[in-house]
This record gives sequence, structure tokens and C-alpha cells, in this order.
Amino acid sequence: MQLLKGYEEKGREAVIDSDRKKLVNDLKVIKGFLAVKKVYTSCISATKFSLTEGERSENLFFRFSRRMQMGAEKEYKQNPAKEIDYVQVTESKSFKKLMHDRKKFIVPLTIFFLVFYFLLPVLTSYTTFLNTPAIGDISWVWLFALAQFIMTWVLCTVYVKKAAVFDKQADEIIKEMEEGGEGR
Amino acid sequence: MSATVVILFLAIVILTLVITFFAARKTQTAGDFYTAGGGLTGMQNGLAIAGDYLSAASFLGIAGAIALYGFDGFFYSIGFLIAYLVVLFLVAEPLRNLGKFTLADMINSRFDASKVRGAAALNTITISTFYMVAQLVGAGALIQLLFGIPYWAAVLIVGVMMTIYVLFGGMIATSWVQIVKAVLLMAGMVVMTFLVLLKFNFNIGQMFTDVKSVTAHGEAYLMPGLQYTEPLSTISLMLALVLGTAGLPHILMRFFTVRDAPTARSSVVIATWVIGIFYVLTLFLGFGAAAFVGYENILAANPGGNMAAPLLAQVIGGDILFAFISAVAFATILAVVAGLVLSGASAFAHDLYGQIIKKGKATEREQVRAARYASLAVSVLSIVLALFAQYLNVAFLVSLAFCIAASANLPVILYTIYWKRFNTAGAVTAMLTGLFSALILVSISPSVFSPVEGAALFVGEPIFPLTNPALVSVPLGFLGGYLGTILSKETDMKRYAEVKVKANTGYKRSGVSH
Repeated sequence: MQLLKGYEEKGREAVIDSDRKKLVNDLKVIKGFLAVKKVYTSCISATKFSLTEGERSENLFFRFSRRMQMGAEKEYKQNPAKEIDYVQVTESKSFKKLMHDRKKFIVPLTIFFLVFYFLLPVLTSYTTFLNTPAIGDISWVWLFALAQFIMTWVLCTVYVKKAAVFDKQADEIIKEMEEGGEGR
Repeated sequence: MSATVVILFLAIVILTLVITFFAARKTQTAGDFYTAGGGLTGMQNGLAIAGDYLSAASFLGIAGAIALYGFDGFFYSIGFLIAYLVVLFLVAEPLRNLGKFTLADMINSRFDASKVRGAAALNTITISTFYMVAQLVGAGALIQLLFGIPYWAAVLIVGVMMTIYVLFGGMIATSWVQIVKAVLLMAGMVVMTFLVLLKFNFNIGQMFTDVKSVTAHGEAYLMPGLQYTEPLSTISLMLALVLGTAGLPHILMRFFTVRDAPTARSSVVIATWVIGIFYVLTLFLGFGAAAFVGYENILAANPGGNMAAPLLAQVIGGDILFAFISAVAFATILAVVAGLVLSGASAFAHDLYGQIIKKGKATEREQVRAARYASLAVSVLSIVLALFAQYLNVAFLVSLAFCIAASANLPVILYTIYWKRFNTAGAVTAMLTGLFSALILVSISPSVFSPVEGAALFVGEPIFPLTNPALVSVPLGFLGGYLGTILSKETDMKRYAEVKVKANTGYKRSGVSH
């Protein structure tokens, strides 16, 4: 159980995914194995057939279990986190496309909303034509202010829609990275 | 102070203490303390962001400013809202993907340098202190007005409450106090707006026509230019507002309380809707106060107009609504200051103690203990500062905090995420140039020096003409980072490639569930 805990901690720290995958596999094997061991132990105690410490070390099953734990630990220690070549990832076609798509979406819209925003204080500071009435006593300056709110909500919605596409692209890239990571 | 006020006031105190009690039992690790274990949903965090952001300055200050100055009072609302587009488009997701507990963590995902972390912690502490003193001074004055107790007692009540939340319940308690506050605040706003509209027979055109004749300003009330007459000062203030939010540590910290970038994104969207609707409603409160409370009465109660909303509640809803709105204002203050204590404490305990002094080797228990000591220290320090700063201009302190955030934090955040060549020297110079240019420029500005006695801190001719220095200090922050970078040869393309991949794909966070 101590070992399991240790593994979980390592899993939390592991940054590299190929390493993680391996940890998960190990964990699955060990967890399954420990479950079998638990059943086996309870069977023994149910039959009131108790083992001394010496017999225990002789018992094939326990020996096997210990070796397996040590082996897993050793292997973990011998294989420190495999480096992912991030430079290679940034040069991959799919990553470049994601960056290009993001830029094409974010840069023009950011410029747009900043310009639209600063237009308000610039116009109110240097001109007076927004002060003419639009609807009854409501002048254009109020409608412009309202338009700022509407723009914010619209851009939020547009961004969320677009980001869902980027999420998919990012998932693809991660998949490629992990598959690539396995080969190294 | 009526019985209803006392009951509602106590109800809020008890409710938040119950929240803190349950949160305290869940707060075991440093991750729980700083980020609520990263387990908030988008909806929860969205409401908590709104609760963290909508301070008493927004609730009472903006309603008051609209009541007194008409359109010019609305400028703040627009800036405060559009700032969230900057957060959503440029900052929120990469920040979530790269950071752990603090802004310094995110910047250091690229640099691993104590001086970068130290500078980031210095910025966080400076910004949070200005913001905190502003909130506490405002809170003290407000509670003094609402409940008729002395200023020092009001500051102490708020101070003790915020200390309890953060000390025992950490981010979990803080988040839930903010969520409850956001819900109460929005409910209060909707009720007030409904009652105001009822008085205007739901005719918005009629409302505009009416307010034209009720204030001392006449027709000019509906036009810009009553409060902001200097074009460059106005634009500079608007710049600080729109860029400052994306650099405010207590807001940025909220993005670490969610699982991943998509959740961070959805929380910004929720927050933007809530905050946007809130600011639209402040308009009705402001106009309602101008029409039904009256310009003279608002000014008589408080020269800054801070009492406009509570007085309006009294007029349109009687004592019960007045009590409710006062209690909401109290909850509003508590939620904001709790978030500020937490961000200040994280800079001290996590960045300075945990990462620089202990070099990241502090045990889980040491980390939580340090976080608690730091929260206590930050609380006590800000209470003491607030007791001495009673007569300081609160609005100026808030806009200064936004200005420092925009000048000192935003450039380094954007460079870290988006600029390939950026390096350690650039990060340090960006942060320090932004911080000191904002501080120095404001200390020689009309906000500090005025030829009219009593109008500012000192009597004298201001050397720098803009009341808010953002128009100069933000470009200086960016320039500092640029020069610092190109003057140093150091560059690490491999590290940037890693940061770029992680920031854009959320890589580290996929795979194993934990």
C-alpha cells in the first residue's frame, strides 16, 4: 500500500505524459496484483492456516509479490522522465496550424475591441457629435456605451465557439506528442 | 440602527462563519489553501470572480457617481467590463495552463529565477496593499454611515472577519463567501432596478427625460464631461481600467482554482455576463437615486455619493430594503478583502518563503502553516494601515492599483506567453520599470500635489499633468521589458518552446486523473 501511495505521488509530479502512461500501467498491474494477494491472504486466514515469518519468505506467492514490487520500483528509478522535444512539437505542422489559427482569430478581434473601446473616451473628449439625441432624450453617447456592453457579450460568445475548435486541435497535438513520445 | 439591519448583518456574519467552518475541515494542503484544491466548476468560479471583483467602489461608488455626474459615472463601468475581454482573449487560459498558485509561478514556468519571483511577489504585495487599504478605508467609512458606529470599530469588524475566513478556510471559504456575495448582490440589484423601473412605469425613455430636469446640472447631466474634463487624463484612466484587471493578482489567482483552461474560460464568460448585467443595472440605480433621493440629499449624506444606493433603497423599499442593501454592501466588502488577503499572503508565504527562502522544499505542513501566518500578518498590517489612512481618497487608491497592475504585471505576463526572445533580465526590468514609473509618476501628479489646499495630499504645483499615469507608465513597462531583453544576450528557445506548447495545449494537465 505504501508503494501505491508513492506511485500516486509520483504520478502527480510527473509532467511528461509518456512517463505518466507508464506509471498508470504499472499502477494497474500492481493494483490488480494486490487485489489477488488480498484474496489469497484472506483465504489462508479463513482456513486458519497461518504462516510464520520464515514460511512467508519461502512462500512462492509472497516472494513473487515482493519481487514484483521491487522490480516496478527499480524500473521507475532507472527510467527518469523521458524528455519531450518541445522544439520539435512547435515545428510540427499541427502545432503551427493551431498557432496560425489562434493568431488569425485573436489579434484582429483584440485590436477591434480596444479601438472600439477607446473610441468612446476619444470621441467624448474631443468632439460633441455624440451628444445629439438619438431616441427621444437618449443621445448617441448612451447608445455607444450600450454597444460596448453588447460587443463584450458577443465577443465572449464568439470566443467560446472558436475556442472549442482550438481545444480539438490541441487534443490532436497532445495525441501526436504522446504517440511520438512512445517511440523515443 | 434598526433591528432589521442588525438581524440581517448578523445573518451574514453567521452564514459566512458556517461556510468557513466547513471550509476549514477541507483545508489540508497548500493546494487547498491557495486554490481550493483546483476543484471549482466554471459556474462557481465565474460567480466567485464577480464576487471578488465587484467591490463596494463598484456597488456604491459607481451608482453614486452616476447619480451625481450622469454619463461620466458610467465610464468606470465600461472600462471595468471590457477589461474582461483582455483577460479572456489574452491571459486566462495560458495563465491556467502555466501556473500553480500565484502569478509568479506562471512567470517562473519560463525562468526559474529567484529575482523574477521576487519582483513578481513585490508587485503582488504592492498592488494588493493599495487595493486593500482602499477597500478597508471605504468599508470603514461606509459601515460608519450605515450602522452609525465609529470608523475604527468598523475597520476592526471587517478586518477580523476577513482574517477568520482566510486564516481558517483559505481559498475554499473565500470562494464561497464570494459566491454567496455575488448572488446576494445581484438579487439586491435586480430588486432595486425593478422598483426603480416601476416608478418610471417601465418607460426608459421617460426615465431619461425625467432625470434631465431633476439634477442641478440640467441637460448636461446626460452628456459626458461633468467629471472628466481633461481628455488625456480621461483616456489614461480608461487605459488603466481596461488593462489593469488582467494584472490584478487577486483576480488572476482565481484562475488557479479550476481544473483546466476550458473551465477557466467558462468562468470568465460567466463572470463577464454577471459583471456586465451588474454595471447595466448600476445605471438604473444611479438615475433612480438622482430622481427619487435628490442630488442635494445624496451630496449631504456623503460628498462622494457613496450613500446613493442605500438611500434609494430607503425611498423605494422602506426600512427592510435599506437593511437588505446595507447587509449586501457589508457582504460585498468582506468578499473582496478576503480575496485580497489571500493574494497578499500567497506572495509572502508561497513566493518569498516557500520558493525563494525554502527553495520549494518546504513540506506540506510547513507550507500551510506559512500561509496561515502570512494571512494573519497581511490582515493585521492592512488593518493598521487602514486605521491611519482614514482621510485618504479611496477612488484614487483603487485607480492607482489598477494602474500599477497594468504597468507592472500585464507587460511581463504578455511577454512571457507570447514573446520568443523574452528573458530573465527582461522580466525583471519589465516588472520594476512598470512598478516604479507608476509609483513615481503618481507621486508627482495632481492626485498628490494640488495648488488648492486640502484637494490632495500636498499643496503645490504637480510636475506631471495626468491624474492617472497609465498612459505613460504602461508603455514604459513594455519598453522596460523590451530593452531589458535585447540588452541581455541570454535566451532559451527550448524553454520557450515548452512554455508555448503547454500554454497553448494545456499539455501538463491531461492524462492521469488525480
